[in-house]
Order: sequence, then structure tokens, then C-alpha cells
Amino acid sequence: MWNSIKYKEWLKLRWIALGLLVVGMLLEIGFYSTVRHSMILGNANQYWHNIVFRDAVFYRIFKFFPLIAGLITGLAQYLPEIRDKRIKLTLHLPAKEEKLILWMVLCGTAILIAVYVLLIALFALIGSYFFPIQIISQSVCTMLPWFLAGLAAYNLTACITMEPLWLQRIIYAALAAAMVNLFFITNKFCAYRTILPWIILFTTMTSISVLYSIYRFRKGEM
Amino acid sequence: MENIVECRNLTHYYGNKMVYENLSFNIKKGRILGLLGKNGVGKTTTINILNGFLTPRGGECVIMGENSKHLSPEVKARIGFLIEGHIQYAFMNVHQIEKFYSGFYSNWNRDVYFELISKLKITPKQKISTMSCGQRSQVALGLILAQNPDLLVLDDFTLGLDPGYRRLFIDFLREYSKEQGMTVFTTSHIIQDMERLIDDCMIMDYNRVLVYEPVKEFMSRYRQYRFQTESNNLELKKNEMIIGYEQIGNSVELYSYCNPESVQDYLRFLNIRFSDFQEESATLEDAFIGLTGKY
Amino acid sequence: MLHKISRYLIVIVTVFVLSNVLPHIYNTLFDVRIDLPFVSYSIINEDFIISRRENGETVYTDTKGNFLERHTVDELQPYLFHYQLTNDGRMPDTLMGEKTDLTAIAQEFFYNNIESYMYTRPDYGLYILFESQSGRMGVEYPEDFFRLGKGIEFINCHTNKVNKEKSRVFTQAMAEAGFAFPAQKVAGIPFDFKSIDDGNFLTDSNGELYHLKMVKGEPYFVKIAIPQDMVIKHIDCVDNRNYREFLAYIITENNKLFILKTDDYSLTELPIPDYIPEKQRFTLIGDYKTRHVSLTGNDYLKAYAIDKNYNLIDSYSESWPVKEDMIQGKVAGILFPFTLNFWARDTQFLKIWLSGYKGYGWILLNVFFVGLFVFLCIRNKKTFKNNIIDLILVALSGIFGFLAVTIFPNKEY
Repeated sequence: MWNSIKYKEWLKLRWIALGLLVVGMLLEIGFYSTVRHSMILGNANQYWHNIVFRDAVFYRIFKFFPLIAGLITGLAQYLPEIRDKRIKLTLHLPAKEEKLILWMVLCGTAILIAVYVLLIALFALIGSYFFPIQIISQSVCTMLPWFLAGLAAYNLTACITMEPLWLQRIIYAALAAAMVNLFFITNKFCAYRTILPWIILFTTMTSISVLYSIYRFRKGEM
Repeated sequence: MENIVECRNLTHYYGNKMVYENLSFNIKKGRILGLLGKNGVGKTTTINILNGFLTPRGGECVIMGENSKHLSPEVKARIGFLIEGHIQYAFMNVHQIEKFYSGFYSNWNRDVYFELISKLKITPKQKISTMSCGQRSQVALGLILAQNPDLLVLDDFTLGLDPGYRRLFIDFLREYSKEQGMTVFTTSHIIQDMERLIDDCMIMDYNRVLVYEPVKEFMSRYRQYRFQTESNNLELKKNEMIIGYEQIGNSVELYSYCNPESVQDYLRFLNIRFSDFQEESATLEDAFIGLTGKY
Repeated sequence: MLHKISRYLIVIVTVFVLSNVLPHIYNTLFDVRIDLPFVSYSIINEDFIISRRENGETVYTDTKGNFLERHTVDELQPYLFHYQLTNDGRMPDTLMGEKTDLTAIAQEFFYNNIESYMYTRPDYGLYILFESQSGRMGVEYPEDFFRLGKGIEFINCHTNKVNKEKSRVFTQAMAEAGFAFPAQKVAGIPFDFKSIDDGNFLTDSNGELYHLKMVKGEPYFVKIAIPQDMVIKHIDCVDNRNYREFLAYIITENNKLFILKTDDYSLTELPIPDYIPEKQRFTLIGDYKTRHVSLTGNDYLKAYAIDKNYNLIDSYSESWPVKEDMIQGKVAGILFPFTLNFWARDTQFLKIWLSGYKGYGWILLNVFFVGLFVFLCIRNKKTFKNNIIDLILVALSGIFGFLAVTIFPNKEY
């Protein structure tokens, strides 16, 4: 039964996931190409200096990619459900409804996290050619809130997409923008390290928000 | 005969606009009940209440002993649901969607599904989104029949279908459901197809039920008459004698549950001069229009 | 049931988001500028001079409140404003019984500050060791960075590979000097705008202080004697151009501030009691005769005049109203029972903390929102039992809770 849900969500997301992975990889290859180019034309020690002491972020082009990836994944997964109210098909299946929805969320989250993990791994792999582990690890630390923003965006996109009323959707979207903004308060490297547990908790708390929207849909809000 | 579905005193409003009040009906086991009505009378509302997607302002529906607001997975497994427009997950092809649904039903009968699919001229990997309306309807029908449900709930299965597909759908559905002893509840506003399918009918007009009985009984009672009259602006009150009438020029079509003699006597009683009084044979569609009007 | 939990979770998240966003919007619309005073000591007057902005202009007063003209201020602080006086031709030939030596005065003029957030900040763990005696004017960036673990490792920036020989030589020198790896603190000036390189200061795992330099490619590594009970909290290196009295500030765990003298590594304590590094900005302006020290907090300033022997001459303090005490702040305090903050004075990391619940005005507004909530529940025929958690949320968080439970209604179907 749960394999069927996994199968359905995989069918919806497989090409999106692949596309996001490819775009993410291209972005990473892109900015590392720029790093290499800058180091050749300038001085590598000056480049390192800008990173370590002047807060230069050589991967800043990647900043909003995880957020966009989360948004796209959420839309790819839930738009097909809300179009013509196809979610009724899932809700009518002979299983506990909340469990069905949670499985859907789990599938989307797992696929998104897999894309993120692969991109972080590639970032570290290529980066280890140019930089010592200290720069790589602090850079990953800096990027973590961006990835968490992507997960939060995924959760909130699900909630917004499945909400039956347009006015509520707009209000939720405004709120979601404010929420997601909290993941981008500062460009200071690794500044979020001290509050990562809170940010992770915050993201987790949004993870089942779609249940509320679907409950409203279930009860006939229109 | 056992009732699979019992709806009692259903009342619903959209805002302040009443859909219906105190609607009660049952669906008997093994029977096919058709809810007939024009667009907007509350057919889909009733389907949504049955499936628990809408909470009525008043009343309740009990399906196989459970309140429709909180159907258990076990009861849901016994209900096949067709959404208006034969809506299915369009990003899948026919094999993928069968694989998806089969995981949920222990009695899954893939043979009946593929029997219907084999009739379609489609490629194996063709996505449902690229199929025609008729092809999609076959996929949808195949999926719900493969479930082997005890109750089928079909919301306007005729929507968007060509006559050929409509006929195919109806014939296959009727034959299979009768063979398996399935109970069917369907809604439609295309009456001519329903006559081939349903055993019992419930005809709804805005805010009220006009007819709720087996089709055969209803059609045996329903009479349609035509006569000529001098007055081209007849005004007849609706009562037990006259369900409704339509006048075009001097020609009047009159609908009644009474025999021709009683109707003629009544016309004379009202001092209406008429001629060429004749009874016409009526289909269920004629009866529907007679009861609900042309507009 | 799970849908109820999902609603409460998103409502709580919304409460916290609104408690950050709404005060932020309010602040943007109704913020007020607070100009901080600048205090320096007049050795002529033997009094402090305070400059502050009033009605868009800078005004100067002494501690008794007497207004002073700008040119008078220059003359009362000739060492501090020697550039202006020299430029205007107003510099006297003798000052305080001494012949005016413009070169010496210009040389002994420097400005240092330590911000309160310097103590806790992100650190890559990579540092630079310049060549101290390259034979060239100024300093040049080296081709490598170093990091500290079980030893010291120099990594070439071009190859991203460890220079094993250099690392071995320096590690050995450090170990021979008694350095107990791993290092606790590392301080230096990693920029080439400094006039001369004074290397880095390190503390080892036992809290001992060392000085590391690279002299003609070879390690220079010495232990600096510090009192046994001194626990170093922070080292802030200085580059005062041609004035080479001291190399760094040392701040200890018990908030004592020392300067580390250049010639003999001796430590001289600055006579500033009540220094709270994490809450105050430390500023020291040194001129030919005086050290003008300011400790600036959120709503107060403490100024100290210290002589060149680091004895206290005089002190002054003043405070000012903070935003919370002004009309805008008071209204905010009523409107918003609390605010979720991410920034704090004492760190460059983000920090989640709540401020608020001050005064009693917010209670009234919270009661109003509770009343409004109850009224709406009654009007919408909601049961009390199903809404008790919402009621508590509104009571505790006022406008935030009310908006959150309204945006995500707890409808009973």
C-alpha cells in the first residue's frame, strides 16, 4: 500500500528531481569554474583572503537555488493533486487519510533531501580541490539555512497549494514569505550555526502544515 | 432488501442559498439509483456528502453502517468512486495507474481493467493526459470495477463523452454490476442514457425531490398528452391532475399521473375547449423535462 | 487529531514569525535616531568635553553644561586636534610648559576600538603569518595560510597542499617553546595595510600566551609570561602605525583589560572598572598626553581620562533614554507583548531571544484581544472546549496570537 504512494510520488517527482539535480550541479560547476578563473587571473592567496577575512561568498549564486528547488518540488507534487481536485482520489483510498498525506510529504521531503545531499557532496568534492576543509565545512555551514529554507518552502508550498480558498492562499503565501525570509537574515558566514537547532525545529514544525489545508478541503471549504 | 446507503434529512446551504432541506433517500443493495436533475440542483453536493467531502448543515448519510463523515478504510475499500469528468491522475499511463491502485485493494481484479483497456486504441506508455475524454472514461471505469466494490458512486459519468463511449460505458457498467451484485449510485443530467442503466430514479428540482421510485413504476404512472386549444395563452395550475404543461401556439403538451379520461374531464371542468386529445409515449427524458421544465 | 496538531504547530510558528515581522515593520515606520555623545578629555581644562547632535547640529559642552565653540574645543584639546590646529596655524609653540614637537604629537596619535560582538564570532580557523622582515616597505600577503590542530600546518593557496617541511619546522619550534597543542585562541592583523608585521598571539590548551612571527622564513616563537591566575578571554592586536608602545589588548575572563607592551611583553592594566566586554563598545583614543577611553553600552557611556602611565585622571558618565522609554517605544511595548530577536550585541552569530513583557500596557491590549476572540467565538457558535488552547495563545501573545488563530481558523464542521 505505502509502496503505491511512494510509486505515485516518485512518478510525479522523478524528472523534476533529476532536473533540479542537473541544474544544481551546473550551478556548482559554474561557480567553481569562476573560482578557478579568478585564481588564475588573480592570486589564489588573495582569493582565500577575501573568503576568510572579507566574508566573500564564492557560492552566493547558489543562495536561492534550494529555496526555488523546494518551491518547484512542492508545486510539482501538489499542483496535480489540486487540479480538478484529484486529491479526492487519494483521500478516497482505503487507508488512513492522514497517513496517506504524511507519506506523500515524506516522499517529497526525502527526494528533496536526496537532491540537497548530493549537491552538498558535490560542493565538498569539487571544493576540496581548491580549498582546505576549513573553508568547505564553514561554507556548508553557511549554506545549511538555505537548504532548510528549501525544505520549509516545500512544506509551505504544499500547505498553500492544497488550501481550497484563494484568499487564504494569498495570506498564507505572504506569511510563508515572511517565514522563509528568516532563513536569509544575514550573509555572514556560518552565522546561523548557533541557532541551527531552532531553525531545524521551525522547519519541522511546518512539515505537516499540509494536513490542515487538506482537512479544510475535506470538510468542504469552498 | 438491505439498504447499503441511508441518507436522512440532509440539509445544505451555500452561504444563504439553500440547496435542499430534509432530503432523505436510501440506496438498496444490488440496485442502481440515478439522481437526475438539471445543473445546479445539488447532485454533486449529494455525491460530496456521500463521500465525506462536504459536511451538510443538517442530517447525515450512513454507508454500510458508517457515517459518511468518518468512513473507515475498510468501508472505503468497498466503495468505487468516479469523479465528475472521469478525473484520474493524468501524469500516469494505463499500466502505472493500475500498478498504483492495485496496491490498495486486496480483491483487485486486473482482468476487468485490462479488458476495458484493450478496447482502447492507445500506446502502452501513453499518458492519460493525452487521451480523449472517452478513453479516459474507460480507464476510470476499469479502475473502479477492478476494485470489486460493493458500492459504486459515479458523479455524472456521461460528462464529455461521445454517444458511442456513453453507450459502451453504460452497457459494460450495467452488465458487470448486475453480474457482481454491485450497488450503484449515479448522477447525471443526460437522461436518455440513464434510462438504459438505472433501476430506481430520484428526480430533483431546485430545493426539492419530485420523484423517488423505481423507474418502471414511475414510467407506468407518468402520462404525456397532447391537444389543440383555441386559447393560445392557457393558464393551468399544477396539482395532482396536472404535473406540468408546455404550450406552443395552440398546441399543448400536458403531463399527468392520471388516465386520459380523468384529464379530459378535468379540462372540461375548467371550461377549456380542446381537440385532438391524444396520449403520447414518453421516455424518461420526456418525463424529466415534463417535471422540471425546459428551462 | 493530527490535523489539529498540524494547525497548532503552524499557529505557533506564525506567532513567532509575526513577533519578529510586525515589530520590524513598526520599527521601520516609526524608528527614532539616537545620536550617541562623543566624550574626550581636555588636559587644559581638566574636564571632559561632550559633543552631541542637537537639532541637526553638533554642540559641545563641558561636564557643567557650559556650551563651547568648536574652535575653543580644538584649543582645549590641542593634542587631540593637532591636525586642525596646525592646519589653521593655531597650534601654540609651547604646550603645558613643553616646546611643541609636532612630529612626536602626530606620531603618538591612535585610535583603537573593540566591539562587543568580537568575543563570539564565526572563525574559519585559518590564519595568516606574514614575513616580518621581508626587507621591503610594508607587508605582503604570503602564499599560504596556517591552521592549528595537533601542530601547525601551512597550506599553499595555489596548490591547496600542506607545506610539510615548513609545518614541521614551525611545529617543532612551538613545541620546543612549550606550546601545548591544540591552540585555544589566535589573534593577529590579517591585512596588508598595517605598517609592520607583529605576527600572531596564541594561547595554548593550558591558557599560556605565546607570540608567533616568521622572521626571514624562520619561526620566531616565544612564551609571554602572564600571571598564573590570569585566564585570557580575548586578544585584540593593534597597529598604531609608527606608535609602537603596545602590540595588543588582552581581556581576561574577569573583564580586566591590559595592554601588552612591545618592548618587554609586560602587561599594564587599564584603570577601567565595570568593563563588560560583551555589553560595551570599548574605544581608546591615544594622544600625546592622554588616553581617552569610552565604554559605550545600550543606554549609557562611561568615559575615562587616563595618563600615559595608565593612571586614572578622571571619569565621567551619562545615560540617555532608549527607544523603549520614548513614545514610540512605549506604544510598541503595548502593541507587541514580546519581540523575537535574532541579533544581539555580544555576538556575530545569530541568537534567538525574546524581549518584552515590560510594563503593564500590553496586558490591557492582550485582554482586549482575548475579549475580541471570545466575542468572535460566540458569534460563530464555537465551543469553548475546542478553543481553549487558542484562548491561552491569544492571552499570552496578544496581537500575534489573535492574528495567527484568525489566519488559521479553528473551524468546527
